[in-house]
Amino acid sequence: MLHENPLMIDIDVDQWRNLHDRFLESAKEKRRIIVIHEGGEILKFVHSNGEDVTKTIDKVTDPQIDVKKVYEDNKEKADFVLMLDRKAVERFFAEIQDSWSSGEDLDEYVYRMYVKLDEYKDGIVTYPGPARKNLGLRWKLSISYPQVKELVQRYIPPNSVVVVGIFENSNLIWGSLVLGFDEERKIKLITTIDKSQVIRDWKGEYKKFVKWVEEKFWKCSLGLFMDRGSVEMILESDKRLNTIRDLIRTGKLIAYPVPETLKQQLG
Amino acid sequence: MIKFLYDGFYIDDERIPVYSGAVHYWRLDPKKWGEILDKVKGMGFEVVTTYIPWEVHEIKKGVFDFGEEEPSKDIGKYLTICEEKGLKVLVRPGPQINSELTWFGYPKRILEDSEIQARSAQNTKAVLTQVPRPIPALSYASEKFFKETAEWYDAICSILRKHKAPQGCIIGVQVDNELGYFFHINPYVVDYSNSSIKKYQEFLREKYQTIENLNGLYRTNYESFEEIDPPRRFEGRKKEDLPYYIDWIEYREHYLINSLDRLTGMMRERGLDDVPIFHNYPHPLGPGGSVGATTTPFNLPELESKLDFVGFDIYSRKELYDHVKTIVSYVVGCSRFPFIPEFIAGVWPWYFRPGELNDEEFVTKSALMHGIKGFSRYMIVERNRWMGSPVTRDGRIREDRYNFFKQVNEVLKKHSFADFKKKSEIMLISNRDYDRLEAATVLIPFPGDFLETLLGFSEYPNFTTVSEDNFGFDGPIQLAKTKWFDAYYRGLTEQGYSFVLGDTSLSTDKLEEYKVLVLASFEYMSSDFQENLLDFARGGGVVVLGPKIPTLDEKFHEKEILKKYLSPEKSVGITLGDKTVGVKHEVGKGSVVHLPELDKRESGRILGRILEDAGIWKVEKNDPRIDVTIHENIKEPERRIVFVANPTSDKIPTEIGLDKVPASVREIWENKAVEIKDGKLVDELHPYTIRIYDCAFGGV
Repeated sequence: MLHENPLMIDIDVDQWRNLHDRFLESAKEKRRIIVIHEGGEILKFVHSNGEDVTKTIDKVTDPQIDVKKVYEDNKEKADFVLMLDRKAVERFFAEIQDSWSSGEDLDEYVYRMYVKLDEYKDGIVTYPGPARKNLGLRWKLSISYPQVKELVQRYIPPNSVVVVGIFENSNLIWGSLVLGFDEERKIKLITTIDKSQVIRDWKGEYKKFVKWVEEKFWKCSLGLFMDRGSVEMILESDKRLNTIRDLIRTGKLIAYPVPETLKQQLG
Repeated sequence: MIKFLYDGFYIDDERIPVYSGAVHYWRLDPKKWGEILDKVKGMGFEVVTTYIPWEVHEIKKGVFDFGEEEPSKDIGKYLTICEEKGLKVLVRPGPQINSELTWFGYPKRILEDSEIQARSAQNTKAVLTQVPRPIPALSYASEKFFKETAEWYDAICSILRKHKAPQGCIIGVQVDNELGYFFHINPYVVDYSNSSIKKYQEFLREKYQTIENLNGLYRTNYESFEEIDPPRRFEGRKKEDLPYYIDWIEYREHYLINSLDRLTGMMRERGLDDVPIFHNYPHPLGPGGSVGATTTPFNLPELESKLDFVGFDIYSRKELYDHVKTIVSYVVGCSRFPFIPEFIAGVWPWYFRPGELNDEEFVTKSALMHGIKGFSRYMIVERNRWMGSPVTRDGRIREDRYNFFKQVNEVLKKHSFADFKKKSEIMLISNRDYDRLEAATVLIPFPGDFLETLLGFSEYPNFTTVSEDNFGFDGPIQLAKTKWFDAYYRGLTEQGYSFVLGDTSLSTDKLEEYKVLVLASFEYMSSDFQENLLDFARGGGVVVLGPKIPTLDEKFHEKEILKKYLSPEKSVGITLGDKTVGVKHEVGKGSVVHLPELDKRESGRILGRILEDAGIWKVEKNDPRIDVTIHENIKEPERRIVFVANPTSDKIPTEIGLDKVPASVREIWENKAVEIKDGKLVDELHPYTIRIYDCAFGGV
């Protein structure tokens, strides 16, 4: 989905940092207990912050049971346990790397890497939760990559731009994302709304933002503008579409423009 | 002829301080080149830096566009404009430049060429997950790679040599960029291509001369060097197993040095023979944000024997003060010209949680505080896939950032920073042999990843990835060496001692610039370095080491080079209270101090006791969390610059005592007078603040 040669221009650092803080999650920042073994023989049993670890297993016999045991013994000091069989790790990365081709998009490559973790469920093990849900840098959206891709294919017209603007107070932009999709709906543009465009209450200015995008880039097919509270409501909701509809109905979220394909969905 | 000294570049004896900023001509509208360069000059920059991307200029194999088709690719015209504006230029023609380009600066065909690709230990491609496309590592051992690069160099060097100073603007050339296995720092990832394996075998032949010598050490029965396959994973169990793995780690250093040496030679052959050539090691924060080491697979001292100077790049945040201090102190301790070739001015969009402008201010002051003498701000003009620069790609100014960079340059020039040198009498040494052991014992191989390594490990070996075996030593040296280094580092800092960092590859000349060498030592240490330490002590220096006095050399053969000179008759115990914490052995005009233990809580007091005895002066400070450095003016002995850092999240009132009381003190960033009370500099430092005091002594 990410184009081979995207424009990533004029990104506002402050907005970008806010988006990272709220929507990205790093396994590296988690408190982890790391167990490395070779065919069951434990070679390494450490805490990522160097804290003491309660070690009640002395070899790995059943990784699924053992990883849970290590976690239960240490759950006050660990967000998750990572249990690695050396040979499995070697095979995993060899398979992934050898499958590289210059034509594959970054997100496809990374997604395949995560999917492949499921094939190594006894060799690269985490608890609680599978490796695929714990490892690496991930977005905190509770929506999978294939789902996002499907939404884009279904609702976003080719050669168009999607704008999301999130505000705090009425005239301060907290974060925004401007994504331009090419004729194959690959992301060819990534930027943010220029904060100098935000002068008055965003509810009165959203059309100006859309105009700014269209003058600077391409036709805008979807614009979503809301305050931070509404973002949190959407993220916390089990029925996100309903929540979005409610927010639109109550004027807390403004959808403008909306592609024909999406109008009915958004009510 | 352009030359460089410790304080800057010189053309006809005129010093040009290298405070540079990166501007990428091909990413800007050529009609705006002049206007944008004026903005850069407006911030006080007199030097600009640019990559020159093979990826962009090559239209098809052997055919290049240097502006004939696209005006933005007219590098010749761009350099001419720089000349017209009186700007000097550092050029970086690769071949690898990264530069957030899709193909890292290479034409795509090069990356797709399986003959040029590096191979992993499992004989697969070795892919770096970078943005916007993952790319395979290339083999810098491949003859075809050098042949292809020669075509690029033929084309670009013919333009560059016309613009060399003094007639032209080019004052320096960077060879390649951040060469480090495409961020596959992990030793068991690359390069296992046939060409690399051949070079590895040649390396072993050169090192051991005969296969019998190697077999004797490895306890093997190889009939020839060609039979030897490099280690593809660590499986050592005892110390006799280790040389095989450690040689692979040493080879990886050798591979990088030789590749850069060859590329440098190719540039020199093409007319760039009278401008300084330098290289930048990657910022050892690691692409995934993990703090790394300064030594293996890098080898700054050895690489400087092949080209002119070498620096480390720095992108950091204020919370990582010790990271910046470590990198800068190492470059200052080791390099001929302490230069940061990429010094944070904005970041790439996939830098996780980019910092704020106050991070850049703190990092800038930290690097100056610890002694850098030159830098190139990356990027001073924004472009595709970069954010947070002071000048936008269309030439607009971001006032807060613009003013900050302008102020830095003004301060450096107004106060003649080039005339100052950080005062350090102590070198804390990282033992490359132990760093190699640490790298050799990594248990998990994983490729580089610009987003975050999937398993969450640092690309650099550390306690989470290396073996815990003792290998027959008293303890795991690969783990203990870091604890000792940290205890020394903390102890010296807390006590107020200024120091630089070095490593065991440094020449004795470089070591002799210091009065005290401090290092971790275990059962083994290379013969050469033991000899160096002995010479240093004999000449009047103080060597502080521990916990062991080595009895083995780097091949684990018995060799008591140091030990045999440490006689009980010429020894005296060092006490702290009623406890003996070490033994001082008289050696020649100097001494060797052995510390069998170093509790990190006590390390400051123990080191303080030893250094006081050695006559090493320290800053007097009221809070151990405060860090202080003093820079002496080479031309005016009555002037000093004193940096005081608060690298914590707490506000700290500070009282700093120097060896003599200044007649006047001015904080030069805020340009205000500072109170001297009872002979001390009194101030209050907010969290993550650095004050820069210009102190005048004598009758001023």
